[in-house]
Amino acid sequence: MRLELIGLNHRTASLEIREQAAMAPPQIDRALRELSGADNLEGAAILSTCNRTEVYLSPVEHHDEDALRRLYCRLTGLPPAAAGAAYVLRDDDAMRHLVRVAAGLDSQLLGEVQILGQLKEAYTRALAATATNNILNKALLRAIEAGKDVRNRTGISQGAVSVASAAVQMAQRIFGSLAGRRVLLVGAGETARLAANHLHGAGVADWRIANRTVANARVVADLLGGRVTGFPPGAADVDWADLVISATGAPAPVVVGAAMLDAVRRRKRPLLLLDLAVPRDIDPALAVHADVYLYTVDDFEDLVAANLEARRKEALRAEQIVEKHVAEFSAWYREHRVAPTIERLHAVLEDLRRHEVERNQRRFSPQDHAQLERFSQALIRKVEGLIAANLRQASVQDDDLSLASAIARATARDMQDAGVQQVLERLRQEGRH
Amino acid sequence: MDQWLYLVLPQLLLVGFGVLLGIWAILLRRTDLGLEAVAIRFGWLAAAVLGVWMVALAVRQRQLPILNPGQLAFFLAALVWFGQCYAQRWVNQRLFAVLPLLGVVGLMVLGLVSGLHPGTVTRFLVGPEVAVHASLSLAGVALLLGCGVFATGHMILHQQIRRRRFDAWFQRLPSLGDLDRLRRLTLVTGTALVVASVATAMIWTSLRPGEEATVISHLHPMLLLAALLVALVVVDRRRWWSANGLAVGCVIMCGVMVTLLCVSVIEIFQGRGA
Repeated sequence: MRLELIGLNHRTASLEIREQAAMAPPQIDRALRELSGADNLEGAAILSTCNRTEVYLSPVEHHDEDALRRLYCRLTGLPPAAAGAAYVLRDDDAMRHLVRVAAGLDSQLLGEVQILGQLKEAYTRALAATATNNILNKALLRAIEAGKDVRNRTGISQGAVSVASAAVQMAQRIFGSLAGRRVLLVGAGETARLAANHLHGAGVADWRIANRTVANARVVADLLGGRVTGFPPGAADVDWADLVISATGAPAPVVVGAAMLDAVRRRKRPLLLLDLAVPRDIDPALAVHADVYLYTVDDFEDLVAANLEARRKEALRAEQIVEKHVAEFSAWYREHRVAPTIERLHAVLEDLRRHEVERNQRRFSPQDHAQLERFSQALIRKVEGLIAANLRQASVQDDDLSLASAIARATARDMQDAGVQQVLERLRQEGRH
Repeated sequence: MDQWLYLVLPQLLLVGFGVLLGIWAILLRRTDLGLEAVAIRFGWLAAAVLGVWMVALAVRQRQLPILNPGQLAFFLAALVWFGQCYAQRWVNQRLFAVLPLLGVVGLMVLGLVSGLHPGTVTRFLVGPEVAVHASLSLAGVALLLGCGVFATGHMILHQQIRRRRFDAWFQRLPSLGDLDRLRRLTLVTGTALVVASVATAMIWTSLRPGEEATVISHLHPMLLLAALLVALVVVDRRRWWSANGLAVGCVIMCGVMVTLLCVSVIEIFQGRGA
């Protein structure tokens, strides 16, 4: 197979080296233009994300490893001293790596979904630069398909893997859709904003923000399209909300008090209290009612750990799907490799046939001529089929793929064993009649 | 023809639903969205075949499948499955499809064991008014069984969230909000249908004065059921209990309903109506 990969990722290179190797879109376009005109290269594509910079190549002949490293350093601007961090993979190994990348199995956060979009973008960019050939097109499309397949057939991308997204997952487990839900955000620091951003992305549009510094609360309220309320929040605010997120730096609980407890007791709909602060902001006594769910940072860490463990288990099944796609690509490649030879063989035989039929045209009546056409076509189809089957078999076994050796094999084995036997059998049957 | 309608097709349906149960049982153990889509499509196909069989049976015997306990079990199984397919359109049931399927397969086994061929039909079970009453009643029961299933799901998920158990039940059940919404919807609609079925029975009684004693004896359990259901609906509308409390109430009500339904069915086929 003529597929090569050189690249580095979070496993082989430090952040500093990854930063040096990272390529911006204009740099990728320049590199693709350079590669598409290079000798010994039929196709190229470049994937550059925050965790990896990989160059996929389809060469006429495989490059040696040093040449590939020099090329990689030239394209990315990586100092040659750091080139040791790059890995070189070829053929099936390169394809396996590409499919694992698409499936999220090679990601820092196992099963993450962004990589699939990044891979699609890399492919689109390479296509736009007319830098790909049919092998690379097929490899990239197959990898994207495999990535989707893995996510559809396993739970590798399911479950939140950060505290902020775990808060959203918990809210969705309780309320279902978050559109139309009302959220009281207590605090305007980084943690509070992160959780709020995730909830905002999940469809929450109705916000009240309570913060000790009103100016900061206003900034967050403007970002989320909510309104500012007093600090600490009152019982009316908690009664209004479906979800309370608290993440302040206060030394003692701020969502607390007899009035608050009374409001929680009186309410007749579920309330989710998410306490992301240490020390805690929400009085645990508020979880008095069966419809009130109180969660703290420790609970979310447990949820994230459970989700990661579940993803690790799903990764084993994902690897099997990856292998299936790699094997299918290899089979396609083997078939693809002999296709030009078979086409050439067909053209040669067809020329010979036509020439012979035309040369003998006068000797036959129009009816006999039509029969001769059919007979000669059938004959070359059989010969062609016999040689093509040998070529395909040789391709599977990585044998000599020349036409001459395929013909030699066909005449040595099949003609004698199968073809001649068939003819003899037919003659015997005709003799009986 | 009778052999096909009363034996072969019902057995094939049981096999089909058994396969469907097997697929969903596999999906309990692992995530596979492709297989899940196949299971959902297969579920729709099974519902369509079940519907065609019921229509053919109704045409053949000129009455809905209510002529013996076996037919009632199949009729109820069909309604439960139609309801499940309908609910699936609004809320992804995911692994929760297993519970209705267990009910459907159980009812089908019960139906086949007790036999589907009606033999000699009593006059009591013939006529359009019986068909209307029985259809309303069974549709109501099917919805209330669905209500019990959603309430069970609510109880399970509530416990998982409270106890911080982040397992497959936590991950794959519909959300508490969806389960509560479906539970309330099925409770209110099911109650309305049961009340309507009792009302049609009353009208029927007035139209057939000679059969008053038979009908009223069968209606006693149904009247009690209707009264209990209305009380539960009032509690639910007023939100006097918590969502989980209401879910527990619905599960208990489901148990009571199945008991009263059995009493009612025995009364029809073994009691004065037989």
